[in-house]
Amino acid sequence: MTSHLSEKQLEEYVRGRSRPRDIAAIEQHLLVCARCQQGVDNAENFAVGMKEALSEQPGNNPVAGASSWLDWFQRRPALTMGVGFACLILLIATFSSRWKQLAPSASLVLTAMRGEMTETAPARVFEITLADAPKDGGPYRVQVVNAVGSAEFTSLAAAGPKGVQFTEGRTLGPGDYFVRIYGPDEKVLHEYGFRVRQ
Amino acid sequence: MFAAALQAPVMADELVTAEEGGRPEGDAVPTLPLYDWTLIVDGIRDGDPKAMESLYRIFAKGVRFFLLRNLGSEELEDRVHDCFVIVIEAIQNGELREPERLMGYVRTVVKRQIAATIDVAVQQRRRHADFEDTLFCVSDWRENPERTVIARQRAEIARRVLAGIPARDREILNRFYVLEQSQDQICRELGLSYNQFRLLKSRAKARFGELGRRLATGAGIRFRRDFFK
Repeated sequence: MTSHLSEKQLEEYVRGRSRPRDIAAIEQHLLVCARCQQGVDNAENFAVGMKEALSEQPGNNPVAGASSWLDWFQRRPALTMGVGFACLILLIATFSSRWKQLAPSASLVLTAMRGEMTETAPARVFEITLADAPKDGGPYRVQVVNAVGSAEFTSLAAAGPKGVQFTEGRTLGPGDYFVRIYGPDEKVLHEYGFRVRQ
Repeated sequence: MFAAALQAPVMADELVTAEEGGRPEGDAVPTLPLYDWTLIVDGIRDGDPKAMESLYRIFAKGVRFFLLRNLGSEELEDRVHDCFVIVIEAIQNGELREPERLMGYVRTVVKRQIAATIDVAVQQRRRHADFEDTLFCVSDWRENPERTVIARQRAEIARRVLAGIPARDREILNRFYVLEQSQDQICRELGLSYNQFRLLKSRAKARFGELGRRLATGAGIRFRRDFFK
């Protein structure tokens, strides 16, 4: 039998890990024992202090971890510049090789009829003809939007005997796109769809 | 007469020695100090003010300790007083039939007072939130500037302790205090004996206590520049 709570009992008590059957006896002891009351305060201070301080350590805090990485790089400016330059070269090499693989241009003749979407291979530029658009008047505002409606390209296009023609100069990644042609009053005259294959 | 009831409690000079040698599973619950509860209870029942004084002398600090831990310092003395009024009335009304259960009864009264106070605070917060909506945020009633400073000092001391120990020791403390892994799991996974584990914690605690004492006596811990901001 013992006269005071052990370190382990104090620690378990402040961490809420005491066995349920022991809690009443521990608390009754604490009611009359100033020394163990002090022990509880000390154990709690230590446990809470450790938890707070350890939680700030890099391994326990993703933000602190990122910060320590940044600090590491900031202390090595030459290495950081070297790594940055290597990444840039890699990026350019990747994109230029992909650029070379693309066809120079793709011609698309679109009609605003329901049915299968016109498909095309990826290309550097797209020469688009809107076959059933007005053959005269204009110029008309044309817009290419992606599948979620974000504008990829906007331009003015002239009407001709084959319809409205324009060149989309931006490289479009694989996916569905829609071409909208607007009248002079900014109302949509027609909308056309096409798909760029993988 | 009540001097006998208030004989010095039986206590060891040092903290439990079994802890030093490596305690196996299941600590013995400590013995209670020896008081003559029958004498005190009978005295209170007879309306003897000295008996009431004895009761207060024995329990006041402990009751205050639990109330302070759970409810903070607000209205502390009033709450302590309320607990004693309840206990004395119960004794005088003959509700405490077995004097040896006095400690258990006092504990129950304190726990009920804590629960009731929390319940009232919760109800008030709900009403307050209903009426005021989000004009004021409901803050933790246990927070106050003094507690905040103490918490910051505590964390700073802990940081200093951690800065002075090897990474492996930090990992052990991290597993125990942050990840809340059991002592068995930590010892098993890191190949530690119970004594190694205990020793590591003891050293860290001793250092923590030493720095805390130095702070308390003004012997000087230099805090980081941003500490008091």
